Amino acid sequence: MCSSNTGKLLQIAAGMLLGIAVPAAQGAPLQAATGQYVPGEVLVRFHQSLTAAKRAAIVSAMGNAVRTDYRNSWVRISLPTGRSVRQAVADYRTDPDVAVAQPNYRYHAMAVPDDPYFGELWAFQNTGQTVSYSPLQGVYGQIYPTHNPGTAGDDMDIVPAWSHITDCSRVIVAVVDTGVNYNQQDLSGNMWNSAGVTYNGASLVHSGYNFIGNNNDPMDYNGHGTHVAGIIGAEGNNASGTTGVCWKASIMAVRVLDASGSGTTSSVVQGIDFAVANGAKVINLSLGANGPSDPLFSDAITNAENSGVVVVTAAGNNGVDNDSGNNATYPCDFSQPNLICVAALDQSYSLASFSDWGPTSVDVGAPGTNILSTYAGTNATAYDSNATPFTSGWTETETSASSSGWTPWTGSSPLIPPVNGAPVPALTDPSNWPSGVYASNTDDDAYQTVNLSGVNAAAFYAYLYANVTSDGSIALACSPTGGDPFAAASPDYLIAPTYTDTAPTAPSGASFIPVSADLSGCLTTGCTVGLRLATGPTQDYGAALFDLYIETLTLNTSTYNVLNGTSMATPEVSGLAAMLFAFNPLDTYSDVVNAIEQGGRPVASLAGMTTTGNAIDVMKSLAYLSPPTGLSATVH
Amino acid sequence: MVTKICFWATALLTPIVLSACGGGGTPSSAPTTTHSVSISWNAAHQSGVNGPGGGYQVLVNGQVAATVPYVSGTLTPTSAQLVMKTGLYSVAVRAYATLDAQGGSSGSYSAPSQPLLVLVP
Repeated sequence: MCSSNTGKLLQIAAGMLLGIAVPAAQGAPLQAATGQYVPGEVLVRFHQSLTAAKRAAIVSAMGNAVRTDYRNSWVRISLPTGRSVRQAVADYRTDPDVAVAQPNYRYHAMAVPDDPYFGELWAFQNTGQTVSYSPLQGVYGQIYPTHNPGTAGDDMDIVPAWSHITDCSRVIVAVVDTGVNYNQQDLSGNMWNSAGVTYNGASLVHSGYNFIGNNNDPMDYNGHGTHVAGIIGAEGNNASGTTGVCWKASIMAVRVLDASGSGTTSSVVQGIDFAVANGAKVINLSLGANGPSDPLFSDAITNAENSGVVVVTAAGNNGVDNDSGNNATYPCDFSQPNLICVAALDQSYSLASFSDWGPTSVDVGAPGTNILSTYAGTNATAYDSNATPFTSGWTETETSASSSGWTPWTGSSPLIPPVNGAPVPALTDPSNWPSGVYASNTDDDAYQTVNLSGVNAAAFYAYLYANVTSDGSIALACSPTGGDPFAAASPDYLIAPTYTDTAPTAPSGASFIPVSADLSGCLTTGCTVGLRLATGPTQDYGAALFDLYIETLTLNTSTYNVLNGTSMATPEVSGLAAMLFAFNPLDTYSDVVNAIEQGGRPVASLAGMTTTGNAIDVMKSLAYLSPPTGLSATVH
Repeated sequence: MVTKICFWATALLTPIVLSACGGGGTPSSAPTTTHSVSISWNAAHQSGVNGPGGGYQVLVNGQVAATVPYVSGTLTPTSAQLVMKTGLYSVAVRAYATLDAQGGSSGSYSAPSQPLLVLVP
């Protein structure tokens, strides 16, 4: 850590002059920066026989001034403005009363923080280490196998930058996500101070707002948002866990995604507007969706632009070109100048296999594989259809005798191919899916009981093929009191009744869709989760549900996890944006965007794949100077 | 007449006399005169430019014609006075700071601003 403390500078200087080892500042090793010295100063050792008065007289006669007297006849001398240090040293060296003359070299701590997991943070310092952190949490907690270990030096070049700035706390960074576990040990001290702020009549006592529950508690019941927040601003050099890009930060928690990681245009836009209205200078959007443009979402980005806010978003994890065909992903593909879209790089700075790219839509790359960061708590699996197939524990009901109802399926189909040679269990309706059609005019239900007591959150994830005409529907629901969740007068729908076909078509050409749902309303010992296929007169090819699992989350303050995704690359850039705003308080959003994009490092894997071809480089961005503008001349 | 010999100097807030160096100028029959030329630009936002060791350089025909260092206060001055002889000049400004891209203090420069053509009658 570079210190601006005068006493420490003197200590360093004295140590150097005496030729002894200089104690490291707060545990960080000091290194000399060769050839870098303080302008306007030299250090001179006079012969021991000279008195202090005589030394001062000699210095004065040369047009200089003694600034500090050290022991053993060393003095620190100030030079007049514009005087060359090199020339002054040369001049003093010719003086017969001078024993030694030298510049006042700069030293700085190579500011590696003391956080115990720092060695796993290859994005910050890639030494060619293997990321092997455990235990991993949840289905998304995984070690990405490619290029682990990677290539030493392929990192964000942040260590030298930490000699100049680590504290970004004057800049509010909004994590618009699944919320943030504001009690996590590495985040609790770096949350936005929302004291005295109200929203919708509620005092904001937890550093943000929850647009899923519409209350003032933006707790994270998924883990994603807490992971993102830690990448931006896990407290650094606190001998605990990990560090973020910023060691000190001001994280605003804005919950717009539920426990399953899903949200809506409405929730996200409200979150962005909230962040802008409450002073965020950087908004992190590690979210997106493939599909048509979303004008209301776009308006929110523009509103942020008009308030001088930088918005950083993820390219997407489908491994496709966002600029091609129907691959457009929003908000990445919006074109506002305050928006930076980020691709993910692996530990050898290859584009991660899952990362989207786009020569006109994606701007920069940043580390996005094997990223260790803070997490909301511990995950557990309450149900896994691959471990406990649909043949066990499922209750099926049909309102028509002609219907086969939901049926366990372990067949072989290109639609659900075997994994490692083993068929993937599915639940299908009709029983002869995918070639048969379902019965008309029936309600077919199937449900499973799971114990979700004693946890803070649970979420449902599955994949679904659905071919249902508009006179029918398919739906998911849960019941905290057990039984058929569709039997209630007002079922608690996880997925509202919907249909997916305009006309019956064989499913062979269809693709499965991921479905997910928040089970926070069903945290009981006898929660039932079920699905219903309701059909009308028209028959269709039905549905198949597979890879169903229910994951729980128990909050704590000390869990970390390894995640992969452009979601993880995005906060690396948001942290850098906050650092730039903190380092250059006069910066506009344009200055910050330019410094990030133009101050990056060219990377072969990003050439032609992004607008810049650059990976972010923190130190280069910090040193980046914008070309002056508004030049005018008047001839008199 | 176009002067072919350039006189470039670095000045600290002191006007200097500049002559055109190739490209442009006035008809050979026109007398060569000198004029005071005020150059101004927008302030950079980077702290390094607006702090000790930072500032701007005025480039005339690609050469450093004046240096405007940070002195005190919030911002480095954003203007310079040059004395220029008759001729056509390309004027640009670049910012500088002590921080370099490796984290040291060997200094760095911005790219030059968009150049401005200045015709001194």
